[in-house]
Amino acid sequence: MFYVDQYVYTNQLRKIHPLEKFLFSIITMIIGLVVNNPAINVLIIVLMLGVLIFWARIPVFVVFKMMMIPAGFLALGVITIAVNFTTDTNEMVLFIPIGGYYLGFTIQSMFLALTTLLRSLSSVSCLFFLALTTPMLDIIYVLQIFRTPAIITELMLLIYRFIFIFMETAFNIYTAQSSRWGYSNFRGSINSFGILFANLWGKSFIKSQELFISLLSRGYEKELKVINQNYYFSFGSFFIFVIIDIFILIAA
Amino acid sequence: MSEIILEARNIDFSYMDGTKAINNLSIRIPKGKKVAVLGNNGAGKTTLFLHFNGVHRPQKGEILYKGELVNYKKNQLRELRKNIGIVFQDPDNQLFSASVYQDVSFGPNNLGWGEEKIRNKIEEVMKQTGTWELRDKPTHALSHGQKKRVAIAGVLAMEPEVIFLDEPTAGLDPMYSNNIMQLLDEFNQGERTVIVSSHNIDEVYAWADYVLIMHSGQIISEGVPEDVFRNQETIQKANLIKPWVLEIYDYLVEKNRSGPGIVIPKTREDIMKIL
Repeated sequence: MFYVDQYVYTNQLRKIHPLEKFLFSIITMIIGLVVNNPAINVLIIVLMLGVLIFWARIPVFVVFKMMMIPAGFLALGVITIAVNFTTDTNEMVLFIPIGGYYLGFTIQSMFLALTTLLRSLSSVSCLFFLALTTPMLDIIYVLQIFRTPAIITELMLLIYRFIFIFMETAFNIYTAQSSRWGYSNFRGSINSFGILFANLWGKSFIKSQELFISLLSRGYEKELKVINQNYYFSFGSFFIFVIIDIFILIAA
Repeated sequence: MSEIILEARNIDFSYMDGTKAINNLSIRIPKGKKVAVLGNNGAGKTTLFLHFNGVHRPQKGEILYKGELVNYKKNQLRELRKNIGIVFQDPDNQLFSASVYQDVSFGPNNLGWGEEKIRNKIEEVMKQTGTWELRDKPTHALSHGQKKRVAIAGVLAMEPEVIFLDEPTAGLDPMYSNNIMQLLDEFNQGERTVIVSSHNIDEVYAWADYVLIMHSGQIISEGVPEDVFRNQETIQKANLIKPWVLEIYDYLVEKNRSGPGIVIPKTREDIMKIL
């Protein structure tokens, strides 16, 4: 997951005002959910992936790998929609009898499964557009524009920063352990992992205290008051986003 | 002696687990000097400076800032934390934001300055510390040395009168260390006090105007570097050694190869001139 982070900071859409990207992503997602037409969902997926690959210049394999993440969940959910369990085989295209009952697909259930799949994928592609082009702090900035309570945005800020410190610490402990054969057999692995986990816990606690002290030293009182670099609205990108959404609406 | 900016009188401090970090310590920090604090790990250097900016409160004794007793009222604490900046040893404990720019903006924001003034100040200190090019990068993508410079920028942005840096050059290559020491010299030009804790004796000897040696929560020696480092007993007690430049100079004087000069050599170049 973490290598994705570097594309977020280097993609071609990084400098575009986060509010533009946020609104584009959310509005397109809403269109995809409201309009009941699978063709429109396909159109949204194609456009979003196109924007990510050709405009944001994120490598194709990264985009597809990301799209595969929800595939497992989607497959499970969709299969349960497609499969019916009834006593009646009238409308079934394909079925197997179990006891007095029949397990199978109907045309409607398959169509419903397909539309659900496409709807989910189109929403996911809109979210990934935001996730891959907009750094976490820019998203937090947008949430602040929408008056999200400070406690939530501050927590997001700290969690995002500390995920990396946490991972780095864990990785360092892991390297130190495995260089002394800590993971050479199953028993040892279980033991080493236990130690790693316990240490991480202690270290996180100490780190949080030290962070608090250093924040106090810089005049922290109740709020993490910060300012962002200026973001600039660009009419060019705004125009393109609007055109895309209008195009989808006309197609619908 | 010149004006005293910070003073501690007979302070005592123990941590919650009972470790006695500061033991009946008294010290006067002269204003506008380059001060170095030496001492092994756990000698209480960081704890002492957390007293000077009001994060820790002494359990006994008192702290004075510009001759005024610190009373820990809200306004005075603010004033203290603005004027006494601390750069911590591990930048990961100090940089709380994933954005370099945001992090530097934190201190000045707490001072309640206007946005325009804050933006100008951020740009100024980030250029000074050579971190302006890093402003678009996420904190976790920086190297250790870069993080350290960002941490320094974050404290300089508050325009403190005294800046304390906890091992600013530890773990950095010589070029980065030099840059940081030069930066501190520049900062010192404006009548401000710079205090550095370090294990690098040669660096401290060449750089500092005034040296303190701490050992188990006490100051065991203080004064100008050449006096402090010639006191064999105290430097041994603190697990230190004599700076090599001073060692060679004293040896030369002893062997009558060089008359006791008026200016004692401080650096490699100084001693080469004598030879």
